[in-house]
Amino acid sequence: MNPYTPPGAPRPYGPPHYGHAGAYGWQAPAPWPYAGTHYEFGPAENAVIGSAGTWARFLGIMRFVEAGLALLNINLIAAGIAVAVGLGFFHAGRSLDAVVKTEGHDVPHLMTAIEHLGGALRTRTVVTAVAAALALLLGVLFVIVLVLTAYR
Amino acid sequence: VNVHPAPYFPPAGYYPTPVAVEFSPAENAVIGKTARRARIWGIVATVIGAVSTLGVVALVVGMELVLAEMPRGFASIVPRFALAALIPSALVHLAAGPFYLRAGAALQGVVDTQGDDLRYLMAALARMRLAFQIEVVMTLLSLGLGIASALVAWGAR
Repeated sequence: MNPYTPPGAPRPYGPPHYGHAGAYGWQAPAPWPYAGTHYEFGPAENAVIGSAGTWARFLGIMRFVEAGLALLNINLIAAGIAVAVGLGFFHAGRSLDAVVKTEGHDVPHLMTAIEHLGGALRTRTVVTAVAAALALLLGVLFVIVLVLTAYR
Repeated sequence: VNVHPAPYFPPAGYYPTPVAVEFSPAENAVIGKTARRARIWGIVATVIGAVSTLGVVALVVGMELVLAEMPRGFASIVPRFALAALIPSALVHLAAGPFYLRAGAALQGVVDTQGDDLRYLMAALARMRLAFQIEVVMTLLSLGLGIASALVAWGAR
């Protein structure tokens, strides 16, 4: 038995069925056909992923706080947007944490996290672009009204 | 006759070497979409941050000119606190935008390159984490100053 790979032992970087040594020789490992799906992140990578996850959840909570403040102002639109963005970041953070805490599903959890992040960023971009366009429109209207009033 | 075979040792450096991760086309599609969104948000955030920072600076200068005409007193502190609360919220996008932009570029690197997916992914996550940190800290600062200005205004009544 190969002392490095006892049966059932986790193999962080190895393929699922790592070739084990025979009594008098060693069987070469078969190439891993689909590394993307079965990869298990190492401790250093988990540290980066876990840290990003923690801060993504904090950011989500911050957006929830903003939503609460917007509700105090009876600004339902701002509250709804903040909740939508916050949920995206919060879910992304939870999925990133799941990458660190679970084994065997690292890549699917990572993909879920990346998808949530993408959703949150898209919502932010669309909302900010619409708000900027409205602000520009209001500014132009304000200047037009000002000019018309001055010349009347 | 030696009946106990020598234990097997794998070739030096073989076992601990990480397998080069290559994401599948479906995974690359998800990563590529988020990369595009991160880069777009990075550009939008930087521009909006720059514009709102200029706006806040103009507001601060204008307010200081107005306050200079007023008698110095407790009431003149309130608008200063309120303006101070606006500064972090304007700066947050300007500060975090470039990190989102760079995170998006690193995520695109995952899609475009082969053999370096893991390195690019870790770089992207590290940059995203920095952007998140900046946003959280600036939001807390803004909230703190906002609450302080509200308390000062409450005391000035």
